[in-house]
Amino acid sequence: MRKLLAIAAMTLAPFASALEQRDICIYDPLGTSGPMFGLMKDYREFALSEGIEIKLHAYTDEKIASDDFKAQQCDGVVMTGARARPYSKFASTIEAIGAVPNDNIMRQVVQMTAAPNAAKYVQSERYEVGGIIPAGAVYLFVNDRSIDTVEEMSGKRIATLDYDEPSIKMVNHVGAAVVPSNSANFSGKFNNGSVDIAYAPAIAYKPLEMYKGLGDKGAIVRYNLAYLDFQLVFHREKFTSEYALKSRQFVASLFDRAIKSIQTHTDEIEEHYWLDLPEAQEKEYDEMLRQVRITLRDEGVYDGRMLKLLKNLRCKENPANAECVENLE
Amino acid sequence: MLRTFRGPLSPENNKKNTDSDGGVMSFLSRILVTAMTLVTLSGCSIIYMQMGWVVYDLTDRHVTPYTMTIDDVGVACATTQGLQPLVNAFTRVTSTDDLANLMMNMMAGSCAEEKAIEESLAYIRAFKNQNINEAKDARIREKRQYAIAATRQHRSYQHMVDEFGEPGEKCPSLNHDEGVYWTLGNLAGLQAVLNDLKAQSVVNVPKDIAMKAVRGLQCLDNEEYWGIPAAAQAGLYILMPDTAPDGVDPWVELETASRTATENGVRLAHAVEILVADGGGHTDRVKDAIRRHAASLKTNPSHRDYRLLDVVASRQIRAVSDRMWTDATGSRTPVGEFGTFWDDVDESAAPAMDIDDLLD
Repeated sequence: MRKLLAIAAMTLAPFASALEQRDICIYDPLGTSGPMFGLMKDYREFALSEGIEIKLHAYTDEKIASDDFKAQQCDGVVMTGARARPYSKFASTIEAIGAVPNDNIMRQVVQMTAAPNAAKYVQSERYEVGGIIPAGAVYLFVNDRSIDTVEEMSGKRIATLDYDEPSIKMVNHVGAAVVPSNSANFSGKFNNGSVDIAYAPAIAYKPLEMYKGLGDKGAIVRYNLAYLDFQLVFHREKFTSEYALKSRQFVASLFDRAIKSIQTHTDEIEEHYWLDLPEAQEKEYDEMLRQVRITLRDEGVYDGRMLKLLKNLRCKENPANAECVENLE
Repeated sequence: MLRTFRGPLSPENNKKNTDSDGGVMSFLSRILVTAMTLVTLSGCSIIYMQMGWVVYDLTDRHVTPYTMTIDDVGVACATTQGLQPLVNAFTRVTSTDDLANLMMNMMAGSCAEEKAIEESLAYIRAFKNQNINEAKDARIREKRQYAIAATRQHRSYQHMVDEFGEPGEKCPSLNHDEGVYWTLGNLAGLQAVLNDLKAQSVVNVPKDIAMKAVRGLQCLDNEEYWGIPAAAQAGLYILMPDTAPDGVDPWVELETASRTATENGVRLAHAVEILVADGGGHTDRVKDAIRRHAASLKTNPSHRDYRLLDVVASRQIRAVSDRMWTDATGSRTPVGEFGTFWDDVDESAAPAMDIDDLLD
């Protein structure tokens, strides 16, 4: 009997260690040297503990990463929330204009979407979100401090991500001119004066030398226009729902690490560049962005459920907000 | 010197004087001791200072240029790391030798980078063996070594800035040798940024150094500095395609820069080409560039004045090859197989003729 068991164990041994192989395409502007690629190298260890061997593929062009994922060249992809819209309207709505005003709300939404009962919201017929990684608030960079009101923005040239519908809508809404751009060229346009305004997270400031475009007169408006994030998206048939849930929970556990990095980058911005808006003006911005969000929801760009979730989180934090009474989201 | 200085002040000597000659002798001896101390102190300072300048000069004129000619990375690592405290100790009586420090820190950074690469291979092997704890540990060790590398390389860059000014805006006036230091300092700056990213940004090297360094390298003549300026510029075009002028194919530019490097025998541009291709996940380009690099080693010897730089570049390229081999097969590039890959078609494996045909 013991012999039989030993033979059975020997026969089954190779199967016990057999791993499922999966490929993940990662968009990182710096490729294999970049922070997102590095983070996903750590993610591999988690996947291995779940019996999945992940092969990572670096992409410095986000569109190609997305296209390859769509064409099933890879089983999963890491890209910005704005690019992830075709795969999960719910999760990509986290990046909705003005919807996430601070890290605390971002933390709550990441934790919530990693909870077991949130699975139904981050799954679609073909895709499932496997994790959300914060990349920080998006700020307005202006080459003249006097451009601090919506009226002042009218007629100005804004470097606008041309694949991002909400961005175009927003720029049109304030009466500014869209200058089609992408993540690789918007800073160049701002720095050489081809545009008056750009919007970017703090992480872009130092590496892309945006202080050049700010010069002596420019400023960074201390107001969260949106909250940038990276999302890990899976082809559903390639990963089990159990694994996807554990993946979301693992990625959520990296939140503090990501926030620390965001804080370091934010601290690198020289204090004199920050421009604080008067409270009344901030409220004006809040209201304008809310209107744009509602319009985009009605047009089918944003997911109403995520907007509602974010509004409830904002109102929980600050019940006195005007939006909490009206309940339009 | 110190021994003479300490002698009269030692407790035994004081005791002896007091016992035999009383208070007057003690008074005179104190004056004598004070006078001797003053003479000795100033004498030592002068000697130290003179010696310091000799070391400074010796390091700049001979040690650094000599180190650049050796082709033994192990010796270069030991020399540059061992010499640092000695050379820098004299900065207490002379001034900081920025050029020597630039070189020593750059080299010491490469040495830490090699250790980091070793850990990254250990990570892959552990991963392949499904040894999660070892994989995690190797990854931590890898990040720690990259942090050391980034710190040293950042120091090297800072010494370049102290010597010549910050790159990126204005070009300093440089003779050939200074241009070599400028090249190395800017490359060290670039590596500091990349290695800090690999270390999870714990060193917090200012990320704008990368762009400044690429612009700084454009101050140099491309031919004179082994194709590095063109390679760095092309690398930036690949990362930010819209910055490339119309009609310029940065991949072609990179290959051209690598040819210049081959002809000159300082193949740092090869390393730039391979790191750029590898960073973007262009495996076929990486393989092609590694093949070209390995082939060039057989046809073009290293520049006799800069053998070390050529060897360091080659080791960086071998590290990429090792990672690819380990990823695919579980072990690094086999001995004598640099420039080949595990999936190359082995023509010797298939017989040219059928045995039966010859025996019929």
